Amino acid sequence: MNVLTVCGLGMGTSLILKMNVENILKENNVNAKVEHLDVSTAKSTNADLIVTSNELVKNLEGHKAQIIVIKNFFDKEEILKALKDKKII
Amino acid sequence: MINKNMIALNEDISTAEEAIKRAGKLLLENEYITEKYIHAMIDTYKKNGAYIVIAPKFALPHARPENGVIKAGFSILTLKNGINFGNEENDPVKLIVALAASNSDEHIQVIQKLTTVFSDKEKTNIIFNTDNKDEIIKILMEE
Repeated sequence: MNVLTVCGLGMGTSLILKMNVENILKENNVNAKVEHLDVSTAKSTNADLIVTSNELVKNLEGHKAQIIVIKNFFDKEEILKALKDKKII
Repeated sequence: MINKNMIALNEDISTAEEAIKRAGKLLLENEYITEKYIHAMIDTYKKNGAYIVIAPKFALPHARPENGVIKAGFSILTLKNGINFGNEENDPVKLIVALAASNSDEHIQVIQKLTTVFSDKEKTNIIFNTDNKDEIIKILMEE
C-alpha cells in the first residue's frame, strides 16, 4: 500500500505525521510505503491513502486515494483510530 | 539542537504574526537562520493557513531550507495568553516551536526528537506549563 502524509511544504509537519503513521502501521503488521509530500505535489501523486489535516484536505478534493484527516499529529491513539475506521488496520 | 537562549517562556504577545516573529528571532539570534526565513515563515502561515497548528494549542511555523536556513534546529516560545491562529480545532495557541528546516540528516533528527517528546503527554504538559528553561532542556536531552 502506498501512503502519503501531506502538509503545506512537505518539510516539517508531514514528516512528523509520516513517522507516527509509519510506526503505527509497522506495529500492526501493515506493509506500506509511507512518503511525505507538500500538498501541490500530492495532488498529482498516486496513492492508496493520504493522511493530512483539516486545513489542507480541501486542496485534495477529487484525489482517488482514501483520505484521513488528523487533528493532533502527535496523538498516536487518534491516528490508530482513524486507520482502524478506514479498515486499514 | 537547542540551548537556553532559544527558549522564551510566558511572553505577552497578542497576534500570530508577532508570535512567529518572536520565535523566529530566537533562531536568528542563535544563527540558525537569516532574517529572510522569518518573513518566509510568516508568508507560509498566511498562504497555507493555520495548518501549522498541528496539535491542540501547538503551532509549528517553518519555511523551506532555501529561504535562509543556516542549520537545522528549533526554538521554543510559550505565551502568557493563548492566541487564535485561525485553526478551529486546535486554537488557541500557547506553544510555538519555530523550526529551522534543512535538507540534512540533522533535520530528520530534529523532527524525530520533536515527535518523540510531543507524543508524550506528560512531557508536553511540563513544556507548556513550566517557567524553568532548564526543565525543558532536560526533557529535550533525554533519549
